[in-house]
Amino acid sequence: MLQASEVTPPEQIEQDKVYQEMGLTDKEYDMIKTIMGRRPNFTEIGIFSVMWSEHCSYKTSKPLLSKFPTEGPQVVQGPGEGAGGVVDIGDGQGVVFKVESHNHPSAVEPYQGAATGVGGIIRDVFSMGARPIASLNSLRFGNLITGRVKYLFDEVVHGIAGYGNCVGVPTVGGEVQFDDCYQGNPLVNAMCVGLIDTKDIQKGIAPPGAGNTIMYVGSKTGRDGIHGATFASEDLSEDSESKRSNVQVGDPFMEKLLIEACLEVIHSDALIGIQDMGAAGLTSSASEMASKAGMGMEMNLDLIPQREANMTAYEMMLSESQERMLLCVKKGEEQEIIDIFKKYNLEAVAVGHVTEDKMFRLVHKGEVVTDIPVDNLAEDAPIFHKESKVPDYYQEYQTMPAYRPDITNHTETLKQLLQQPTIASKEYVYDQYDSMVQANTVFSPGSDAAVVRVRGYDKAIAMTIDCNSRYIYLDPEVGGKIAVAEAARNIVASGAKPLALTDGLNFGNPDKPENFWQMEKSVDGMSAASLRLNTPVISGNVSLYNESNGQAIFPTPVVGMVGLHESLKHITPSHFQNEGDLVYLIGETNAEFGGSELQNLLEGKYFGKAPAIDLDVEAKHQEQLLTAIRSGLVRSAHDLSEGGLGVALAESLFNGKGFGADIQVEGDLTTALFSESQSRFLVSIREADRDKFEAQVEDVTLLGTVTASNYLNVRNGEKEVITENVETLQQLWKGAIPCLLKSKA
Amino acid sequence: MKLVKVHITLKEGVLDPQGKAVQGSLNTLGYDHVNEVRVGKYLELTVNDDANIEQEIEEMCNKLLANPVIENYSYTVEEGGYTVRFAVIVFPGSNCDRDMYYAAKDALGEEADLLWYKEANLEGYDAILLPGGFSYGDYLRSGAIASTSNIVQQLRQQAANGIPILGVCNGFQILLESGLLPGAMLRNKNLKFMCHFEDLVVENNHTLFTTKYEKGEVISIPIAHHDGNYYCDDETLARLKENNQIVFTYQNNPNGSVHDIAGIINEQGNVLGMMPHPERAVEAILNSDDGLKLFQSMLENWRERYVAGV
Repeated sequence: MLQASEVTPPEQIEQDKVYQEMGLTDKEYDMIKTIMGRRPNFTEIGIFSVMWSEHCSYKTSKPLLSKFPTEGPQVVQGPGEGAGGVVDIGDGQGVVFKVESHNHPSAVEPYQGAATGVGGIIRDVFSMGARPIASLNSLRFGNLITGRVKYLFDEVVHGIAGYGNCVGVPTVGGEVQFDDCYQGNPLVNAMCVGLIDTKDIQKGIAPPGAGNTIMYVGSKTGRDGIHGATFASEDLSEDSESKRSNVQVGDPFMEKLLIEACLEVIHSDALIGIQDMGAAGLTSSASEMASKAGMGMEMNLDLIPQREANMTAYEMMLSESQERMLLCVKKGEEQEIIDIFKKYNLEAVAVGHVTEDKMFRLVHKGEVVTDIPVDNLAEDAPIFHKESKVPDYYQEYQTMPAYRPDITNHTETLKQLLQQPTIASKEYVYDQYDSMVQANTVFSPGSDAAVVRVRGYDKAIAMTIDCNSRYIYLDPEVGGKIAVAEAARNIVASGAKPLALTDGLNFGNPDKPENFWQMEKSVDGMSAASLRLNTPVISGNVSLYNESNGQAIFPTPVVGMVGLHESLKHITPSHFQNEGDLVYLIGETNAEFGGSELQNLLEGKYFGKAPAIDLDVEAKHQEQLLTAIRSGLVRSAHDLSEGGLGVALAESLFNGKGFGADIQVEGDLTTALFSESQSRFLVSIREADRDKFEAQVEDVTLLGTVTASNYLNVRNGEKEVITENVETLQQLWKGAIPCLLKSKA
Repeated sequence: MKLVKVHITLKEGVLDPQGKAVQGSLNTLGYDHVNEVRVGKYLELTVNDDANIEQEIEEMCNKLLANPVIENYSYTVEEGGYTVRFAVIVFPGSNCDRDMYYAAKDALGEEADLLWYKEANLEGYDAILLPGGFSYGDYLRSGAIASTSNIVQQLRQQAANGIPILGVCNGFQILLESGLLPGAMLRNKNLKFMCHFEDLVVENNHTLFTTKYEKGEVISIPIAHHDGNYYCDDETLARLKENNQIVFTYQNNPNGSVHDIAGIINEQGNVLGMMPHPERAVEAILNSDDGLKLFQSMLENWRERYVAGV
């Protein structure tokens, strides 16, 4: 065990390569020795190992992340300046948001892994001084066939609910996809959105002026989660189960107290900076705080509140106990801070001070146990340029003839698609989340985008989290563009203008050149789309080594996006609203089935080319639809995604109002109904607005009308091809996931 | 806020046919001692605080309310007006406290204070709201730890004084754990947290909280709970039924509650506990405003009592 070998002398660490157990390479060890001018001791090497892990240092992904557009008039604060970025929403208000992964902990201990993922991202948001107003999550699991996957699925959802509901932040949206590649390595990405008066933004920076006090607040430090950040930067394997001690245990009650106390403390003049102790706990929060300010820090570990007896310096510095914050406070004004926390039954303890010498110095039991140049831990951590290689599969897929599914019974196919777990209703999941606490939720989960109004103003925030990883697997660059475009499409369909995005990059082991190529290309695609659609990247997270037993996940760069409804009047539902309204399709449909749900249904795998996307066309459709919505012409709008038009039509009828639709489609029926061509929307308008709508929006096709019949009727040319009761379709769609969970493995 | 009471009467000597007719009727009924009846008007105005309030009232009376040619007027200005003061008690872990506060303050337009449990003084409040959430993390049992806090002693006193107390979700659980309402909460029958709109049936519209509803009215109010499966023994249930203490029931029981119970009131009729969240359904933009009538009922009943008291 690592703990037992703490007494290991520096010579032996080098000789026995103990550092390798902590995830450091020989090369990295040599770099550390050069920085220190001596052999590092056990605590120091532990500190380096977590700070230089991908999770904290982005050592592999940094060169790629620098490609993202990060600026725009709406950006108040971009990535890197604080825990999350901030965008302007007018009236002196900003929105803070960020996504974070908790994949590895969730694979091993799904309930706590997911719960603490939610807790961590919420802390990131309120540590900036923002009140968390909404949570979203993006989840990936294997197919719901094995008992293990069902268990992971149930417990992850349970964990998100258990934590999120308790802290009083509504979980308003999300997505769940199921594919075999996630069987051993599920993805749990949590996003939090906060509202802030821009004057209150806190930066995690200890200011120049040495002597200011460092204070510790929140839960006591225990031995849980030691080396969590390093664990997150390794492949999962059979023996990952034995790393359960790497998983932290969450206390949402403590988090709730911290939220209220921290949001009170930000108004105190005594406070200078505040930072969450997230991955790599005390080590990363303290060293980043000092490094960003160009200062050093000295802490006395004897003063750290400890939950267990006889904790070593190594254990304290690497613990990932949850619900802890680090504060920088004006010297002499500590009592003011102590009193605020005391109200909430929390203890704020002075544990150190800011120094001028740029060293990260720790004292334990009267001895200096760590003395590291702080910039080498944080700002100047090494960056590695990995090798990249085009995978064979990609070249093969690019040259394949286009995949053309052969379908005879389109009603049956529609029914099957509606029962595919990726498409089926996620009510089973989101019913377990409190989506309405704070009493601002206009659209809760199940809509294209969630909508939360801003109390006291005629405006609302739209938010979504999205990623079709199948397209990205087939073609990372095109798929990366689609991921951003689809998120923006969700925002626009709800009637809001997309503002910015946060990226949750989930990939396999970057040491494999094919995996690194996927990263490079998807970042290129995402960058191009965020530039064209004017949605800069303001925050993000990178999770690599998402593999189990040597098999990488599909590249899954999740896009969390936020938009603004400039008036509550613009809020647009995704379901049809009135009998007699006209149904239009915006956008062109081609025979594109590579990576489609239909391909998955028929072939059980994905191959060929991803659907094409032209970002100019995408931008045009989004802009024109938004203008039409703002002119009051649009009654409902829904983006077309998995399952194409057929699924979108059915979904638009699933609001229990008893509507049906009479629809006419031309050309190849399979293409018309199930192709996943991009840049398309399904909208409904009043019949009287027909001329105005057609004058404002290009590339539209009139499909038919909303009826009171409760039947979906589709004609192809002269032929009646689908006549199905909407209630029947809805029951299949709603019942699919509960049914899969009940069936025996 | 100020409460202005304006009395308007006909000037002496001006003929009052209405008064004459009333006097005649009273005499016919045998009230021979009534010599004269003069019918006037009584108006109540709730006015925002303003330094020139008296001057304004004079103007209003002269310009509109009274006809100075034939009528006299008099008025009094009192503190407080018709504003109800709501106390929202905040426990560590409460998370619907602000929602309650805004329901009272914005949707209803009355005064409300968020009171931290340690320093709360409930004296002087006209109604008390116990919000939802996870007080003390709901560790041990939902609402159990909060029910032992000192504030609950004050709560008992106010309940005995007849002050209306509304406990929603965790607030209901605290009322049960403290014995202010009978019964207990079990975990939902499917063992999962659930959050969605439910249709409730108003079973009793003769309470301080429900007079604005019709009996049997179906209202759409969200639920959000893990432990909302109401339980009581047969004897208690019989008593609840007999005393008409069941105020709301679920139309499609989601959680396994005994007798579909969603909300009950105490025997005295001033303490209501309910699992569904009326404070989340007070504006159409939140997908329902069916909860607003509950707060309006509290307001209306308070006003009636207040006016009667004066």
